[in-house]
Amino acid sequence: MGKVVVITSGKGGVGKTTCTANLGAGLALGGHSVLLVDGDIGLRNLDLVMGLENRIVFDLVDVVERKCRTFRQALIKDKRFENLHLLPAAQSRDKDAVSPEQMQALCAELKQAFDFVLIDSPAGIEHGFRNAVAGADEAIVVTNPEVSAIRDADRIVGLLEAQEKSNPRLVINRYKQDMARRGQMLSIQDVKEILGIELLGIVPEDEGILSASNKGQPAVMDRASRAGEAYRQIVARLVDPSSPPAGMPASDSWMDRLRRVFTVSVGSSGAH
Amino acid sequence: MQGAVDPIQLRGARHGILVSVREDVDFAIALEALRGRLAQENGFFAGSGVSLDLGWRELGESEMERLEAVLAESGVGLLGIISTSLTTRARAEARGHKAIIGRLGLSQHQGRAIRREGAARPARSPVPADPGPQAPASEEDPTLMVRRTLRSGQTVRYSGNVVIMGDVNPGATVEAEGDVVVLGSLRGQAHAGTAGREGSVVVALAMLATQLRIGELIWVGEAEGRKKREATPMKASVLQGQIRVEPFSA
Repeated sequence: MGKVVVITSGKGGVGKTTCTANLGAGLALGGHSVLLVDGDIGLRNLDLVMGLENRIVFDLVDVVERKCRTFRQALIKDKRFENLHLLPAAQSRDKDAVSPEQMQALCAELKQAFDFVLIDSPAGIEHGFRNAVAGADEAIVVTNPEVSAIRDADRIVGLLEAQEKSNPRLVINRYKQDMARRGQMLSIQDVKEILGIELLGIVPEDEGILSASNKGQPAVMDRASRAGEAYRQIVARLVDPSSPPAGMPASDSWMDRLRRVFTVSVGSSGAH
Repeated sequence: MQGAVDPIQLRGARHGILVSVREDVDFAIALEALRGRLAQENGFFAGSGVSLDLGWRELGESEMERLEAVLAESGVGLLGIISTSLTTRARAEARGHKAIIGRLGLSQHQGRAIRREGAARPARSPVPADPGPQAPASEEDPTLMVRRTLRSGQTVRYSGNVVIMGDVNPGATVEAEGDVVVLGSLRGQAHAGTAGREGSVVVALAMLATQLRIGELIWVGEAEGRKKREATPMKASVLQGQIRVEPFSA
């Protein structure tokens, strides 16, 4: 039996959907069977980021309301990976269309069929959030090194703890090392001090993420992408907790950058 | 970690069942717990009535409605509401319920309150008549021990002293009629001496708060440039009608 992991943040726009898509694709790359569930009913996005919008026939609300025979009918198989599926959200309904109890029942069924079920939570702490976390075994909290995102993440961690979703883990997204070094951005240490939860990884700011999302091509598949590399490490840590947290910026000397430029060109030529 | 705190407690009282609802738990979660609990009792309470102790929780109109809906769903009548909050009582009365004032909420009953041997009941004292040097009245007060970090949006309120064995994060609030002691970083709001006792103090191992309150007084500080690594134990107290924050020494 697999496990259900919810990806949540409180604040919107910190990169939950991008994170879900990349972790899903990364796990699938590693040979695991993965289901991505878009929990953002009424504001569905995950299908776009995965480049699968045109294949949607049934959605999560149809499954819950038994409009299709089994949940399998609503699943969309990814174009690139055999073992990666998406259960899209309904676009024309709202969050009240599903209850936390229904989500629990659905998740219990889904994790029989997959190694990992990743749920992309909507922003906020209301009904949609409660639905998204209801059936989850574990939680990943995504935040940015920014005071408002961290304040909201802290609220989320408190709510997760109150629901006994213990030990949520942290992904710090859009980290800019040079800004942090100049003291213009919160450092990793600052974030860890306030949130005090286990760090799964740090994803650097990367312009490539935006174009990857627009193309529906998760960055984790791009050997040349810095963010993609961080996601690959996070995936490794999800599978094996003893591997080190991704993207710990030990040093970033010009030598490192040079080395990266080198691996980038080698990596991208290998990928095509 | 919060551990397993049950937001709902049922007790037999003189006039039926008394249901206490913890104030420091998110309302939606408390409500779900109540629903679950009543369902678990399998209609045992159906047709009977319960009294609800809501502590200091302030209920909004819609929250009151949701509460009524949960009780109605389980076929349980509402005998009355016990609350220290004027708003909650007024709202309950406006909706035709009996409402009485209650002193202690559940978080205080369950909060491992330490009462010193033979100590008097906590002074609910109004502003002391004599504004001269005050004895630390808090020594006689009950103390609430909180063994976790308070996160954004979480509040602890108590009619004695409060000790937090953890941090108080930005956006979290501690309010005590007596002293507030934080055995960690205080970055959120702390209000000591809420009943107007200006002899109360706030002590933190790392004082990183940007605002402190003692009694009616407010202190606003600059957290800019201060880091936990540099922060030292500090004590805030009232001196000559002003809050002073100084290094703490016993």
